[in-house]
Amino acid sequence: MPLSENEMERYSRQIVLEDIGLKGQLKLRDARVCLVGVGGLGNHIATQLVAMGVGYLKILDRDIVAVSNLHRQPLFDTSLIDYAKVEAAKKKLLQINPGVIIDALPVSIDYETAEEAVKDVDIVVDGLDSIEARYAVNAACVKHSMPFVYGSAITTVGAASTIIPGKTPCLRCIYPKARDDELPKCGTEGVHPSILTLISSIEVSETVKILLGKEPSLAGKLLFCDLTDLSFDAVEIKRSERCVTCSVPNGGEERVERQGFVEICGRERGSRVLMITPRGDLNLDMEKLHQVVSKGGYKVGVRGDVGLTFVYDERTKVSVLKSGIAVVTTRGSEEEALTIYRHIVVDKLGVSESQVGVVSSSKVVS
Amino acid sequence: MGEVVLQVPRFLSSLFKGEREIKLDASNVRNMVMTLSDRYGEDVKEKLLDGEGRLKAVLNVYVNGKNVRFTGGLDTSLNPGDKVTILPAVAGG
Repeated sequence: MPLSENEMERYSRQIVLEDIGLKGQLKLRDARVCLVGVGGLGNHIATQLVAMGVGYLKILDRDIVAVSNLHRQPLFDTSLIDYAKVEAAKKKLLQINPGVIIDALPVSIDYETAEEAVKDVDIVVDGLDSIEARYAVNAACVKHSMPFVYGSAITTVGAASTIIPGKTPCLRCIYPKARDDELPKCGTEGVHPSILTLISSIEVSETVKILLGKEPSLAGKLLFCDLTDLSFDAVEIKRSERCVTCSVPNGGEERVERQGFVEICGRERGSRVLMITPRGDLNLDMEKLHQVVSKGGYKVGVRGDVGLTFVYDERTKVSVLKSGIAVVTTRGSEEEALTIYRHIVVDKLGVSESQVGVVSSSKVVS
Repeated sequence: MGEVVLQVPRFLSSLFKGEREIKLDASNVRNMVMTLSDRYGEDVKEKLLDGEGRLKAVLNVYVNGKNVRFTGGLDTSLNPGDKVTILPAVAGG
C-alpha cells in the first residue's frame, strides 16, 4: 500500500533524504523492531524509531518510572512517576505517532524472555543497563540469526557495535566474561544525558541502515566515545573461534540465573529499592489486584493498565506489574519486602509459591 | 621479542603523554604493560591492573581485534606487527 498523504507530509523531511527516500519509508513502515529496555538509551531509541515511522515496535522493561530517571528519560514526566515504564512510554510514543503499533511488555530480560523478545521481529536494539541481560539477548539473537545493535553508556562514555550473527563478532566476542557486579553502575557513577542521546542516535542510525538493506557502519567494529574530549575511537573486532556463544557448538555459555531478588542502588535517598522477579510471567489480573489492595485499606498511588503502585505503610511503597514483578521502596528489610509481596501475590491473588519461585538473597545492581 | 603497536584510545592517552600510537618490544601482554609502566610511570600499572596484578575486570585488551580473555589474558603472546588496543567494557544504559 502506498503512503497516504498524511504519511507523505509527516515523513517528508526524511523521504527527501537520498538515504531513505520513498522506498525506504515503505520499508520502515513494514519493519518490526524489538527494543529491550526503555530507560536512558531506550527512551531516545524508541522516540526516534516511532517518530520515523517504524511500523511495529516491541518494548520490554521491568522497571517503573522514578524521579531520578527524569533528567535523562524525556518520554517520562513528573506525572508518570510510579507507572510501569513500558506503559508510560507507549502512551507518549503513540502521541508522537499514532500510526505505529507498539507492544509494551513489563518483563525482565533473562534467557527465557530474550527468546520471546526476538520472535517475529526483524532486528533487536539494545536499551539495557546490564551486561548479563545483554548476554541473554545476544545468545537469542545468535541462535535466531537476528541482527542486534549493541549500545551502552555510563558517566560520559559510551560504546556501540552492530552484531550480525554469522558474520561479525557477537557481544561475547567483544566482552567475553564481564559481570554486572564488577562494572560501574549508573546509579552510583552517574550518567550524562548527552552520552545517552549520542549513543542512542548511533544505534538508531545503524538499525535504520539494516532495515533499509544497507551496510551498517559498526559491523565488526566497537565504537568508544567520550564526551569529556568528544573523542571517538572505532576499533576493529574479530570473531573468536573460542566464543562459547557464536563459535563453539554447544559452547556451554554460562547462563546467569534469574535474580529473584535484586536491590537497585542509588535510586531513592534514605530507602532501599528492592525488585522482586517471579519465575515466569504471572500475568496477574490487574482488576483483582486493585480490589485486593483497596480492600486491604492500602492507599493506591498510581493505577495503570499493567502496573499498580500503593502505599503499604509509612515505610514502604510497592509497585506490582502485570508480569508479577514488584518494585518495593522501603526503609524496612528484605524479609519484610518479601512478606508483603507474598501476602499480596500468593495469599490474596492465589498465585502458587512455585510460580513465584524462591526469592531470598539479594544482588545489587544499578 | 618483536615490535608491536599499541593503539591508544583517547581516554587513555593522558597515561602515555598524549601519544596515540606506541611501538614497543614485548613478548606478551603482561610484558607490554610492564614496559609501558617503565616508560610512562607506575600510573600505567595502576590504571590497567588490579591489586592482584590481573587485568582490571572493566578493561579489555584486543590483539589484532581479538579479546585476550580468550587467549590467556596477560599471558597472551605478542608477535612483531601485532596491533594492540585497550578499551573498557561499557554496560550502563
